[in-house]
Amino acid sequence: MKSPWARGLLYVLVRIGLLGVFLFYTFPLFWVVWTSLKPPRLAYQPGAWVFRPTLQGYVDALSAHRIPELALNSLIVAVITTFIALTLGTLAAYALVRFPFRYRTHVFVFFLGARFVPPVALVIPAFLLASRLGIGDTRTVLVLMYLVLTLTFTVLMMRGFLQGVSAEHEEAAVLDGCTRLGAFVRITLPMLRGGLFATAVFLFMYSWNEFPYALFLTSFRARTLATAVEYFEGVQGVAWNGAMAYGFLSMLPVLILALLVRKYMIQGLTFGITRE
Amino acid sequence: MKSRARVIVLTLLPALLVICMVAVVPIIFQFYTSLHSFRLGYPWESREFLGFDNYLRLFARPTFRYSFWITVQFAFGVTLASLVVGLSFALLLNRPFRFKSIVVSSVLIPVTISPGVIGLIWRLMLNTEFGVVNYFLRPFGMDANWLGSDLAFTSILLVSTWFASSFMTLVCLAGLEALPAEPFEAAVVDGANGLQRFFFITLPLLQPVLFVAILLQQVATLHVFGIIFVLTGGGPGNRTNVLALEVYRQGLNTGNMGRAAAVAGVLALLALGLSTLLISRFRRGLR
Repeated sequence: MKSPWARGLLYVLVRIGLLGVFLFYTFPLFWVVWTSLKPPRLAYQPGAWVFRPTLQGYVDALSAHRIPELALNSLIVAVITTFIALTLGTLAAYALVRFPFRYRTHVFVFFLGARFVPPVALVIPAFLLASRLGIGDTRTVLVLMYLVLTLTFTVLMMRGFLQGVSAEHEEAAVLDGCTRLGAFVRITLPMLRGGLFATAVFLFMYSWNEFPYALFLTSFRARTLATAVEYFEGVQGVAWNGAMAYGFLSMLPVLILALLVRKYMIQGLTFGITRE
Repeated sequence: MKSRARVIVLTLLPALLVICMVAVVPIIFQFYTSLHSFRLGYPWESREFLGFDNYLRLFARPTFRYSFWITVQFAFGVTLASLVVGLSFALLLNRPFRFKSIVVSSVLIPVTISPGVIGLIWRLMLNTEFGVVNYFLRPFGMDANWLGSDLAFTSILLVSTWFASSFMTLVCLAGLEALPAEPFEAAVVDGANGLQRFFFITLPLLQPVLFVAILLQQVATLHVFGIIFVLTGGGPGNRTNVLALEVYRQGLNTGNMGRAAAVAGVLALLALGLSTLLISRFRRGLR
């Protein structure tokens, strides 16, 4: 039908396009790593392709601006948020899937609606309430505000996973004298390991990277790694190798985790809405 | 029957209570604050009731109307651009080829980076003198002042599209992979060419997925804050000062919490409008 020439041309064009897609997403990442390995002076020269790589940027980034301390804050907040959201969210999803009670749809829509409130719309009241309650600039207030998105996200995700598991085994266990919750925890949860792990990764990823709440609600003690970007912001006089070393260090943990749960990514990005 | 009710309450109530505490209470409080004049650093008792004055004053200011307008432009611009990019990329990726898993994994990169860090990376790459983008464009005479007032809005659009297209590509690719093969085979037999197959088969079949993706993306662009905050800070002047940035300027910069809460209220209403559309659509799908 088509001439071999047209076929060959199409083949080449598609390969070039695929290379383009790959470079489109990886080049910025490459540039982060590349710049972070340059000596400070050369970090201002994009054309300096030949240089002796140095870890000076990493040494600078780690020793300035309390970076290790901020990373610890991020880690603590992310782990606690993940734990609370996963526990409460999975239980709520269980009720939503297993019991067709009245107002079930309303409850579900309530969770879905809370998911769509822009964080920036909540930062002002959160800031005022936190300072009145004396929890301004603490990790506690970060965990609380992160729960808005993480908890609703967990409900939506786990609801999707639970719908894929039949209740038969649970009901059999209840007949054998198990309590309802006991049956859920012992029979169904182990079947959902993959989904639970993927959800946990998304929750961790969100909490680790979260920006607006952390920027508004913390100033010093509870600052997180994501907001340390402020310290590297000026342009003139910024040691870009250090700034990029910080950038790479901050994204590394979640990048690795994200690759582990790649096959759940679509559910994660659409909170299970486009699940077939 | 009783035990059933107890289990429902026991499992559902904690999550509901937490969401009420961290989302509903702040929303009510934010509405309350937006009806008052209150400045940061003064005692809470010094607030004065203004009614809807904050909102009226906001819309009386040209700078705010400008912020509102570019927020809408930004939301539609990023959604449209990321849809075009995402769909094109997905069509390219929807075939077997070597290294496919590596290329698909690379699409994940933007969604794993903190918004502030994305802003920082592109701030370096788009710098006029020592940015790598201009370094590559200079030989063609196309280097530009990306973060200057002429192009700053284009730049936040481009960078946000880089970020958002990741989501669009992955969702469209999943949609394409789930399409049945028969209609395409029949079309080939009938002699339809590639473009015809795309417009008369792929697009109509993909439409439900695209609809959800577009709506999610619309709402997500209203959440964008960190990228713009670090890339341009809303500037130069207020060239890229979308509503989310205006909340920061009114709130933490000038300390006018009542006014900031009103801006946040407008932003929340905008998001509410768009997500109501999404949820009503989704509820129909629930049946």
